[in-house]
Amino acid sequence: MELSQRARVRAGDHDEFGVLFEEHVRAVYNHAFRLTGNWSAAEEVVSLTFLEAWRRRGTVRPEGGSLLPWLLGIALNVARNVSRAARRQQAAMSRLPKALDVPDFADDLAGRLDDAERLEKIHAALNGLRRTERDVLALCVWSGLNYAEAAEALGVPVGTVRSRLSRARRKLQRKLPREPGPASEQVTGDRVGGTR
Amino acid sequence: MNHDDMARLRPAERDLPAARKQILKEHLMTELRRADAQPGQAGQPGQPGTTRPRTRRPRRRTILVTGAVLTAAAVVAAAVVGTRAAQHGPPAPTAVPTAPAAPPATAAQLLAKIAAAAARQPNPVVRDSDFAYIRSMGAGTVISVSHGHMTSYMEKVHERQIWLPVANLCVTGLLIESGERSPISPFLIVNGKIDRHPPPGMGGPDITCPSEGHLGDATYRLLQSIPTQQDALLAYLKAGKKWTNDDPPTEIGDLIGEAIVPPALAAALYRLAATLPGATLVPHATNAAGRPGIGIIWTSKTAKQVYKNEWIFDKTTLQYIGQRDYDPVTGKLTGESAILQRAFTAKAGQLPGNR
Repeated sequence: MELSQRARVRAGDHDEFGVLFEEHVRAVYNHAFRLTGNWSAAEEVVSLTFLEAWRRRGTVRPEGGSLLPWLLGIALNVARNVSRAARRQQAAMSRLPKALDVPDFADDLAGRLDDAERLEKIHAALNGLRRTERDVLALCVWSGLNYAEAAEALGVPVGTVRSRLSRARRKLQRKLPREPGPASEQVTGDRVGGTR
Repeated sequence: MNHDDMARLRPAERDLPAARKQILKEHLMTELRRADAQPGQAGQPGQPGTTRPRTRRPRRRTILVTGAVLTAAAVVAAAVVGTRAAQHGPPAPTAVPTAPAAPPATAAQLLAKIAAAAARQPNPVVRDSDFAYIRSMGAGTVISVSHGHMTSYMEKVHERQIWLPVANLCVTGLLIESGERSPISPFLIVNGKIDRHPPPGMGGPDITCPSEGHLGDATYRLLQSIPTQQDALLAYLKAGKKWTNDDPPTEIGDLIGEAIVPPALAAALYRLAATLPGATLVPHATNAAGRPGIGIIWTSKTAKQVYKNEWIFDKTTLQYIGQRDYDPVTGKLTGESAILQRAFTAKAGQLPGNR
């Protein structure tokens, strides 16, 4: 019988980790950039995430769909605790060839600044949120996971994801001035109390 | 801004540059082979690439180039007693009149004597701005993979020097090992540069600066604040699982491995160790520098690994002089250390006596 990808990952099949890397490296890389605001840091988070995934392969549940939610959940932890993950994997990371500092082309540089600015704005906006609320936003809004996938990534019930997301949404609306943009239902100055 | 704006503001996705992606993938695959090849980890979740830790607390099953507490070389300090340097130097080992007339018969008896000897050591005077300097010799297992063929061998014993901030983990320390200098920091180090200001909550260290650290990464000031009463100490070590996930003997081994431990805590740790199961007395042990001593072998089991680890003490002074790690299955030596010197210095990179 053909083993599932989950079963092969659990069994520590190297080739399957290679496949997993190919399938999801882009998603993990971009997720990591959105968490760190820095492309080189994102590379480091990518490496650490797959090394940590290997270390934690025993935690993969036998049944389920894509392993992307699991990887994104690990990446969240790695990005948050990068020092700890890096410490755990320090020897491995010391063997990773350094990224070359290739000067950006002008266009690219503009693009980077723009992205970094946006992220700065967003991170500032997210400041008032709990970490758990930021996590669901990062997973659901940015990485496009559905509630069930985000629940798997975070190891929490689906209902918790839903309530965290709606709480995060309420806080963002209450707390922040509206960006110029499409018409909205936003009520400025809404200071209705809530859980803070 | 609401959450739709957040979606709208999402930066454009991009691909890892192809060459870089290839490097990251090859690195991953090499590390997996390495992890599988790690001795003593068969059937255990792998820990890719833990053979060359650059941090203050090498974990078990890794190269053990660690050490702490007093050493033969601490005689250096004894020579300068009474000077200003001495105040900041390591406490000189007090001649311990406990050279066992009747040698201890059990590990617990030996540990009790070691604890008593530790308790008699003088307390060093330490400034918050100082660094704990530990010079050791050691070697670990190196696993190399080329063309799919794996070989493993013990490294040559080499020198390791580390400077650890005394009071604040956020101060950058220094490691010099085999001539290579690396910063020691809880912050993300990208391409050799320390990123002290990642976006809030997004990749910063899981500590608030200034910090005395935690069980997994303890400063001298933290060690001074750890409870020395037996039950409280055990509870403290168990609570530290969230940082280290190790059992108490392994925690203790790591705490004393490469640190200067305040005498009261050292004594308490050894007294506690005497009550823990899994210890065997080794009448003749040798550290990585070839210095003979008396040993305690621990066979301990954590959620993830089985360890076999030996603490080595000078037979006369009962001071800690190194550790050895063995593969619990084959019994083969996988790592060893010898403590040569420890002292407090005013700056990272400064050698003791140069203040």
